[in-house]
Amino acid sequence: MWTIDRAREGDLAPLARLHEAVRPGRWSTDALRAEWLRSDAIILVARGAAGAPGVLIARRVLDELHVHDVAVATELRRRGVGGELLDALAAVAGPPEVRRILLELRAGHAAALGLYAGHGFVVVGRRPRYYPDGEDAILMTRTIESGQSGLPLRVDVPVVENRAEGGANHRLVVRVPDWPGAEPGQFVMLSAGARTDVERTDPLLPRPMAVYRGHAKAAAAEIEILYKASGRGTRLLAETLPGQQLRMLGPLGGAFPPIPRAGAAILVGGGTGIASLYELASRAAGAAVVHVVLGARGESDLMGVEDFASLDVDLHVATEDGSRGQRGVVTDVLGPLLDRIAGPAPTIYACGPTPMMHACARIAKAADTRCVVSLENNMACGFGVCLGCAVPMTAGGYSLLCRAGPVYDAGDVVWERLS
Amino acid sequence: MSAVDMRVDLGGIELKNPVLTASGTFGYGSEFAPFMDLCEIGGFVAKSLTLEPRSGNPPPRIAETPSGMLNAISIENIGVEAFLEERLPLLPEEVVVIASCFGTEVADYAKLAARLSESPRVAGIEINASCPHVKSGGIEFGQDPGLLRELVVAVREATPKPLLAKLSPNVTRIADMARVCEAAGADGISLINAVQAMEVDVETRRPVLWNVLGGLSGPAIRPIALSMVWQVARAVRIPVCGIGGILTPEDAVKFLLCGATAVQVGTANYINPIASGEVARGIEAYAARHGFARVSELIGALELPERL
Ligand SMILES: Cc1cc2nc3c(=O)[nH]c(=O)nc-3n(C[C@H](O)[C@H](O)[C@H](O)COP(=O)(O)OP(=O)(O)OC[C@H]3O[C@@H](n4cnc5c(N)ncnc54)[C@H](O)[C@@H]3O)c2cc1C
Ligand SMILES: Cc1cc2nc3c(=O)[nH]c(=O)nc-3n(C[C@H](O)[C@H](O)[C@H](O)COP(=O)(O)O)c2cc1C
Ligand code: FES
Repeated sequence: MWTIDRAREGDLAPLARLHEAVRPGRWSTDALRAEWLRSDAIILVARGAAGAPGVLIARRVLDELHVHDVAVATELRRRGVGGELLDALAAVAGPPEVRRILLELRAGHAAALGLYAGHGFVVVGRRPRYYPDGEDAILMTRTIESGQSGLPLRVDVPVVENRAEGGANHRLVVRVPDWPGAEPGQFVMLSAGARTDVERTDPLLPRPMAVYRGHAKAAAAEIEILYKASGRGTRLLAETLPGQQLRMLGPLGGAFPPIPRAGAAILVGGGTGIASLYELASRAAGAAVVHVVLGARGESDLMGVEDFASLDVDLHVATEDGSRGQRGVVTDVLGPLLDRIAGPAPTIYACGPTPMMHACARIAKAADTRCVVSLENNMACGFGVCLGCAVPMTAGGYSLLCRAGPVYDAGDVVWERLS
Repeated sequence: MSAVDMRVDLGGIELKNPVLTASGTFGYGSEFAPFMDLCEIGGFVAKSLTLEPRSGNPPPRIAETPSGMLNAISIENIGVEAFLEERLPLLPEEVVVIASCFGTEVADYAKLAARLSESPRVAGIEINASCPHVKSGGIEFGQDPGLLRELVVAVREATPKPLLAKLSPNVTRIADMARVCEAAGADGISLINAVQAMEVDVETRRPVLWNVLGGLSGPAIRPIALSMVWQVARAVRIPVCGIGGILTPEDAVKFLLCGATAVQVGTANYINPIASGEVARGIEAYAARHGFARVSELIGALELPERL
């Protein structure tokens, strides 16, 4: 057996020997020591009775961990050492600082792909001819979830409150037992309407909804959801009465990268997309400079605007009919706002209709800053089995929005092929 | 201990209960482990595999329709090698795994079946001759009796494992297609695959799916599936596996009564990831309530009017 721990100086020479046996020429003791000295490096070692059977080398880059190497002694392959090292990495550097683990591997390395897939990694892209010998690289990421289990629940939950809030917007509160907690940007799948004695067949599919408030892990949580009654499913949802049950699956998907303390960010929300941004704003409010730009058709359509107004954020509003804030759309506000901000442009977080997010992505590109978006796509399952929610990626292939998303870097997405 | 003997034999595949999950709706199995005990069901049919990994269609790939959904995924899958090396080992030994084969040539299916048969973890092979929206392969075979015969014969030669042929409902006489498969050596018939269908958005005046055509699944197709299962069960001696729109135990019982030896739960897995386990438990409760000691007594137990 073995235990896993951060590497100490005395481990470096045996680890270099282990590496030499597995992948010769990659790490000398000196190179390993130089890496170990870096403040952004994490080296984990599995220690067993007979020496070190495994090592993992990673570096922190902003809110991501990039895995550079995982090596396991040949005689201990397929015994779970590699998987445990990966799980330990997720545990040493969990949220809120680190949101994703990223790694790349040779396309032909099927066994490694299986190892990573078995430990929560999903393929997010492919880099053609990445290695010197012409082999493609596969890019994989794993989102680090909060809470202990990180596993989604499937429960029938009672409605505590469900009321109209102007426009077609509604505020829903459900009581969830054993809620594992959620991160900003994560969502749940909610049945389209209350549970009935006879299984409802129409509308058939559950609806994805962002967790608006209620992100803390709790034995009995009250989860708040803001939604717009627009189509058949959400209109049935609007008819649901307190005491009736909804079926819920979640939390699902990954989180927004957090807004660094003492940093700055611009959050742009349009229509129902506003709901995805509230928890992100509320966590950073006061600790960072948070500019929020919200837009909708008219004042009554502005989801949650009073909640944002009560946060310590720089709030801007745009309505198409001019009934509140500036007349126009969010991007009419975003451009001038960026011009007014001195120094490097802050990261833009956008959620709303696809054309709005695409426009934000273009503005961010012109301002030379990062833009993260939370995409929408038709979904049937929400947990990676129907393959319906595919997002075309610039690196080639598709990413499943419900697993690898819904949050993406705008530059990773082929906007023209999103519909 | 259960009072009802739930075991059935599906063309040589021994199942602890008659509930399987349908190809393409249960991933590679382990995706459901967070929600249910995979050993609760008779087994599952994995996503259709091709010889090489295969990417799917651009979005939109799915759309909701009345009591159903449309899909045009296009058999996106990890390929047979990754399935055998990475996915199968993740499953408990006890889980019965049926592998589904897809190809554009008869030879592809045969190669796949042969490769899959090397694994002791694969309990049986299902031929997907019925994907309704892929341009070449699949339904091409399922709609032409001559090609279907050729396909089943080739796969039969390639595998000693129990062999199921999965049929498309998009044919004129489903019973004829089933007879072709039986004569060509299939051990069982699975039906139905999704029904070819489309939907239009009048605002944009565009088809809702990128692929234009898709496959309809869910409760909307259940009565169609039931009628086809009934016709096929009367036409062949080999067992039939009923598929189409099963959400509840009662839905599944209907298929058994119409002559199905087992059923596959499909779209319901998306809406309720523990649906298959609930269906299995519910069939048992139904059998107990109606005084059946063995679930197999339900197979074909439809009470028909005397004039038939
Ligand atoms: C990750 C994510 C989080 C979301 N969070 C919220 C939220 O917090 N509040 C909110 O009001 N809305 C949210 N949405 C959008 C919401 O899911 C859709 O508005 C809703 O599904 C529409 O259902 P309907 O019954 O009104 O429409 P219908 O027209 O009856 O829907 C038909 C089908 O299309 C799908 N669909 C229609 N519009 C959308 C859409 N914009 N995005 C995805 N699928 C759609 C439906 O889910 C359904 O399967 C979110 C979407 C995603 C993907
Ligand atoms: C999204 C989706 C993907 C599917 N993929 C496959 C597949 O790969 N192979 C196959 O044989 N059938 C596939 N099917 C068809 C199902 O296995 C099943 O035959 C059909 O959906 C009818 O059953 P249901 O109404 O219970 O879903 C798929 C169905 C759906 C909805
Ligand atoms: S919604 Fe089913 S795979 Fe993403």
